[in-house]
Amino acid sequence: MEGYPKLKKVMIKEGCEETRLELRLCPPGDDLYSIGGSGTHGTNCPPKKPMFKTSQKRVAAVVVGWPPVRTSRKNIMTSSYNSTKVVSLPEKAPAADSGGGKKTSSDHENSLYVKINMDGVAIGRKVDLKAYDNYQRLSSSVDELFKGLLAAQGDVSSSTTKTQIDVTTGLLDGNGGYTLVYEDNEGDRILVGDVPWNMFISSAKRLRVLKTSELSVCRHWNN
Amino acid sequence: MVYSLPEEVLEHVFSFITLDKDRNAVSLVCKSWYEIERWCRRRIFVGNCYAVSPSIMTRRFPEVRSVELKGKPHFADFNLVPEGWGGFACPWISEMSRAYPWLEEIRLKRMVVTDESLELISTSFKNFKVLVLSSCEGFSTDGLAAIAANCRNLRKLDLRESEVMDLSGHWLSHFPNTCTSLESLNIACLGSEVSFSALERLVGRSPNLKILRLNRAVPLEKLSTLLCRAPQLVELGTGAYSSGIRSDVYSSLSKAFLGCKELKGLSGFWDVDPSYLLAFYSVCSRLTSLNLSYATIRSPDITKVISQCPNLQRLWVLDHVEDSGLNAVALSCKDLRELRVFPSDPYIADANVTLTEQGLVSVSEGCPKLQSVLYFCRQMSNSALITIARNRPNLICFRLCVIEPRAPDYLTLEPLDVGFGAIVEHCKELRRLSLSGLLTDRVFEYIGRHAKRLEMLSIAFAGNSDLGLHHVLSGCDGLRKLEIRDCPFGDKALLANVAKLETMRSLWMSSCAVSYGACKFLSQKMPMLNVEVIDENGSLDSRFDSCPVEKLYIYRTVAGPRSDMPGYIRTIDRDRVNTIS
Repeated sequence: MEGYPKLKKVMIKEGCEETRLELRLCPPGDDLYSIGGSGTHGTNCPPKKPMFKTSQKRVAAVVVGWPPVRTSRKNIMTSSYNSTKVVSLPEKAPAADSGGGKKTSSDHENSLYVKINMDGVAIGRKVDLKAYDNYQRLSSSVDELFKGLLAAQGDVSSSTTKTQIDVTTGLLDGNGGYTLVYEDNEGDRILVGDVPWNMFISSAKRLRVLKTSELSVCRHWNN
Repeated sequence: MVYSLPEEVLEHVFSFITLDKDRNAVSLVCKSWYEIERWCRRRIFVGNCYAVSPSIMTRRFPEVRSVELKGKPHFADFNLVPEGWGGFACPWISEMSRAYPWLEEIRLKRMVVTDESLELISTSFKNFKVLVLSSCEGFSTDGLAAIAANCRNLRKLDLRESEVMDLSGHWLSHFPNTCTSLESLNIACLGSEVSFSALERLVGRSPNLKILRLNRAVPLEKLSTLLCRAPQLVELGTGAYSSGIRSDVYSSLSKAFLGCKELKGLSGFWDVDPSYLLAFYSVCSRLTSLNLSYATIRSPDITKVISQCPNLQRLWVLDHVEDSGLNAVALSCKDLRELRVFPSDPYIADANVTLTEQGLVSVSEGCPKLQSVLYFCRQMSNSALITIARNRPNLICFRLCVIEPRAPDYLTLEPLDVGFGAIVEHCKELRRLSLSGLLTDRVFEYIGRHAKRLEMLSIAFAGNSDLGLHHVLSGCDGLRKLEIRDCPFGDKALLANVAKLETMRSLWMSSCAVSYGACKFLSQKMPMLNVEVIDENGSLDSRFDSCPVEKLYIYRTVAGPRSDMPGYIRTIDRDRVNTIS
């Protein structure tokens, strides 16, 4: 990997009977140097300033115990229930052209993929909730996602061919054949649309597209 | 004629002397003072549990009420000390259960504690009050159940960052209904859910409860219930701080916080939902301690909270605070004493977080009482360090971690020698220092020359030669703990400063260039030191003298070599050394 501290094999020549190869963490561009040789005062050849790629690749910890953080602090970003950085409170003025799926520059690395399953469809999908900034856009996207799948399944089961055309409209208002719900971090199922968008994003763990007719059963479970 | 005060009078006078240092001085005055002092010493602190044996302690001090022990070296926090190294509390607890029936307090740090030991504690000491297990391991919730069930007068149970085998949450229910003495409970490190109703009842019947640190599994919507039961709380650690959609949760939470008029410290905040941050605004103006180091909230939200806290003395936060957040700290928190900024994502090269050296410079300018700093960042410059040093000569603890090993001054590409040199030169009371970045022997020259009060020094990926280590060992008069990793320090400096090692508590060196032969020599020459060589590759027996040791731990001791080491550790045995060579 260019630009990252590399593991380099460092030859250690000492009074030992053999030279030993040791893996040491060196900044990129650093030349091999020997340890335990006669010390030279003054500086090491200063390594070039590392040019890190802007795309964030996760670098596995190649050096034990470095940087010196305790285990409990190592995976704060990945282990938090909100698996990526949470959006800030919505007090900024909305950007002039808020087209669908616009992301601010500070969020460009943010994505919040959650699973979405639909009743009657064996294979689920994943949606990036951060790609939308309101419920309407999410709903249309979900509609698009499953249209294709339903169509494909429709070939197998003749009874659904009639309903596939507009089956996924009305996801949010309870009027369609299907309704969009989400599960929060406690596993409760809640209708999508009740809360401000930002609160929804921060608590939704997965989405489900349920048959509206099944909803009364769903409500019963929650109570 | 010899005038002397009656024993009772001396004892009474000594009772006002609490610092160990002073007590030790008193005991050296004369034999009778030694005798009187040892009978009335009530608190013992053992900084290295292998420096002395349990029986030596109980023999000299028969009437102790409080014991504090530390086990593993500090680098154990970062997985540098292998499994099974040691630090077993068992022999200490057994001995104390025999010798100190009136023991009230046990504090252990980085030790291995078993359920059997916890059970023994719970049944041996009738007046047991305080148990603090800091970064300990080896016990389960069963041991905690015994403590809860049997310690009738328990005041403090603090499991600070310990690794507990979480068998179930039922242990908390073992506190009997008659237990009303609890003042401090910290279960933040526990993974599984404790029975909430048991917790609620326990909190409800503990009118003296001042400190309550919950674990992540306590849901936010239950927090207000607990707060209403304990409005006298001074320090609170929340559980998970998000709850989906509930506005009723929000309003009951803010009402509950309003009722906590004594609340001065907050921590916890896992899984923070920023919409709930406003719920504790009412306590912000009183807060002296705020730990947001597990809260992944971003800059605007953090800044908003911080600006509401003018009385903050301690702030722990993630690097999400960014320079802008730290500017807010510099503006609002004029009473700040301690700042810790942790990395949110330690292993990514570019964290996309605008936290640079500027943030620390701002705080050093704006916060006149700042004395303690722990700062993880990705770039640093000598000029920033010099500025910080000039702004804050009152620093006592300065721990800087530039995340990339050997990173130079990002502006000039030079080593950070001069910057750290300024820190030790200006901050004359500096007691603890951690170095990072590109450093040559020169920085150690500065440290040896100026850091006369330094007690603990951590070095990683630094230096060019033995001269660096020699500067430190010969110059730092007050040095107690030295921990070094991945530095080109070999035998010469150690062997030239052999006497120094006996004035220190301990020295840790790993991935350096100290040879096995030097270890043997050191061990021979210094009978008061344990020289422990750690080699997990299993080749301790076939070592050539000239081969470097993997890890080395040297500490002074009056207890001789320890007998509880795993196979990959050896104390260089002085007798064997004589016969082999």
